[in-house]
Amino acid sequence: MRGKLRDFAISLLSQDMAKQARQVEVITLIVFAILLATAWWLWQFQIDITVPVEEGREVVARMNIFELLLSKQ
Amino acid sequence: MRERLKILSNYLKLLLPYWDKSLLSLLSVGLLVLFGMATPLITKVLIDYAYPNRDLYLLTFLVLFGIVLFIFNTFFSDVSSYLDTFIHQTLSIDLRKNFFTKLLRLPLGYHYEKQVGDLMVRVTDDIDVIVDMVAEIVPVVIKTIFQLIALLVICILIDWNLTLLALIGIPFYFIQTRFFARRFEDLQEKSQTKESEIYTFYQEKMSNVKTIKSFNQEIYETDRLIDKLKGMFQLVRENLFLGLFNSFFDATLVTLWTSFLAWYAGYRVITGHITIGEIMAILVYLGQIHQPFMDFGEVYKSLATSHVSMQRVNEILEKEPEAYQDTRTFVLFQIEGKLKFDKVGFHYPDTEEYILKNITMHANPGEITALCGASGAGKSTIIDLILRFVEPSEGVIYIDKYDLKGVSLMTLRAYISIVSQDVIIFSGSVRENLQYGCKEVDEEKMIQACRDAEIHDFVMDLPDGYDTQIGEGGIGLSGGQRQRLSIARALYRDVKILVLDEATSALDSITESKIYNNMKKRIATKTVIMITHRPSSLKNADRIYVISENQISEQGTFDELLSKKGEFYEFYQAQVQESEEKMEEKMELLKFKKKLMKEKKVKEKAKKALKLSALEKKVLHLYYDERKTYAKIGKELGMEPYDINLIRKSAKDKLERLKELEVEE
Repeated sequence: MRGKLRDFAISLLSQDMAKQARQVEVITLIVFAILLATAWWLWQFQIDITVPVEEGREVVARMNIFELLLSKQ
Repeated sequence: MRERLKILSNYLKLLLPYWDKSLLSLLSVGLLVLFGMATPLITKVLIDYAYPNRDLYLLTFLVLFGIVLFIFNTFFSDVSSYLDTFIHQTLSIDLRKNFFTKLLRLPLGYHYEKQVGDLMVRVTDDIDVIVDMVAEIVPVVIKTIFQLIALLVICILIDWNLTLLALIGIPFYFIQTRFFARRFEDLQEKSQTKESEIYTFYQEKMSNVKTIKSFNQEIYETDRLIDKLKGMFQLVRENLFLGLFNSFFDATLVTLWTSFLAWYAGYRVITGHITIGEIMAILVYLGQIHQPFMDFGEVYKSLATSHVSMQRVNEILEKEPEAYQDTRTFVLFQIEGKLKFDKVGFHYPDTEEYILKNITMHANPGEITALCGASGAGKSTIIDLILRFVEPSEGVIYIDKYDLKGVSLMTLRAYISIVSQDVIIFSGSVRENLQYGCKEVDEEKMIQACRDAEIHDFVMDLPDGYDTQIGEGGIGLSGGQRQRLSIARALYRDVKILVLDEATSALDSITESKIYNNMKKRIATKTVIMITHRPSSLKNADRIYVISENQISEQGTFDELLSKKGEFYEFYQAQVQESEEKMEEKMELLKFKKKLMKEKKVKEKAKKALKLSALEKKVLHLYYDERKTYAKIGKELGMEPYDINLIRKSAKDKLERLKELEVEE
């Protein structure tokens, strides 16, 4: 395991700098796309805000996470 | 201010080739700001909704949401660090490359005027300051603006009343930042100047250690250094105190400001305007709201201090370089190598005092043209004029039939090889040094050049032959070896014009004569210009120009000039006498060395005879170290106590005699 990690570190350091930076850019763009997809999914996803009542729980509001975070009282 | 912005924008243009990476880095920074904003809001929802309503589902969702944020936050934080480092380093390389290229392209006159230490500070410290500023200013400003907008929007959404109150403190912060920034800029200017002085001092002293030692000035120079370092320390102290005052005012302002806001926020909760979750979130945000302003302040201060460095580096970048690749000049494809000076005069632009006046001379291919005269007569300036390190103030210099001013510098210098008195050997192998400035590699030609310069046998005796490392960190070479290597380098280039500026000053007459004989064939088609004081070298010249009081006073062949019995005759007599005196001195020195060697040998012999035997050593050890009596020692060694006493005495006598010999040495 240790050897593999060392090999990985050596391979990272021995790469051409410009090529590596280009790879980082591509990976960042992919992760950014995943982030946008996650945000879009979270925008669609409605959370039930419930309060306890005598017969279990009652839904008082439905909103996505962003609305919930910025909602006032 | 406009001037400052202009200089800054010039440096910011360096970021253009990395616009894609800069953009991604900014995107990452923006996302990090957003992620940072989420945590207090999650806490607010937990306190106001999840905990009071015992909503386990909401609690689980928020925790999972927090984990997802953490993962994205870590990734974009690492990406931002990676890209920032990449941009920072590449900017540093780019700027240093621009600076160094420009520096090498500047006319030689500029290098004579400027101190090396000052240039060193510019290429190291000043460029570091600029790169730090350029690489950081854009991300910090964008991040700060983004952070400020996000904080204000969220705070206004939670409680606009409290937010507007929070903004009252901003002008005070700007006033104190501006006050300190000006003083930091003044200090930075003084520090950079002082640092340049110290670098120059180091450089000057380290390259003249021999002189310092010979004048016994080690302590004096150390004291001078300490004085300079104390001056630097004083500036560092001023900087420290200013920084401490600045931090104190910063901290006081921020503490008073946030304390007042905390009180007012509490008042708003007590009076029922906002919830506990909201006050917790808004207090975290208001605690952060001073950060963008502090960052702006830091950028402002950094702009002020880096302006000094920008000006210093700009001074070099904006200087007019030599017309090295001037397209208006014409390229020399093939030349004969004939040089002609027509009434040439030269003086430096800032003075009317002529270094050379009315020089008319010529140097033909296949001939050795010698220049001689007293030191400071202007001989080396003639070489500088040929290489166009300086331009003539009047008159024209021709190469073949072309005016030298109209010839492309790059091609002109490609036709000239120079062996100067101060031979520079670069760190690297012998081969690399020989091939310096040559595009083609020809092993045979290189070896032949070394044979002609009488250095081949020496190189072959080195541990790795032509691959032996010399210069800094490699094998040290004597003055004569360096000169012969330099001659070999010039011969290997095999160009039309060969300039020998006191090129054989460190060689003995026999080696010098051998080298001239070896070169005869080579120089049959070359123009050789030689500056020399040595009578033996002057005899090799076809034509001699005597420079006196900045003019040519005599000219002709060696025999013609001697028969004139004029200035050259006197000069020659003086040089011959000097050479003879030097020879006598050398002989004296050799005799003295021989005598010393003889005395040393006698002493070595005596020392050998005084060497202690194992028995004597043992006796001395037992008697002096272990404090045993003669009887005990005799018993231990199987000898009589009387004999032990004799051995001890003889050993002691030997040791005393040895000591005396060492003292004599």
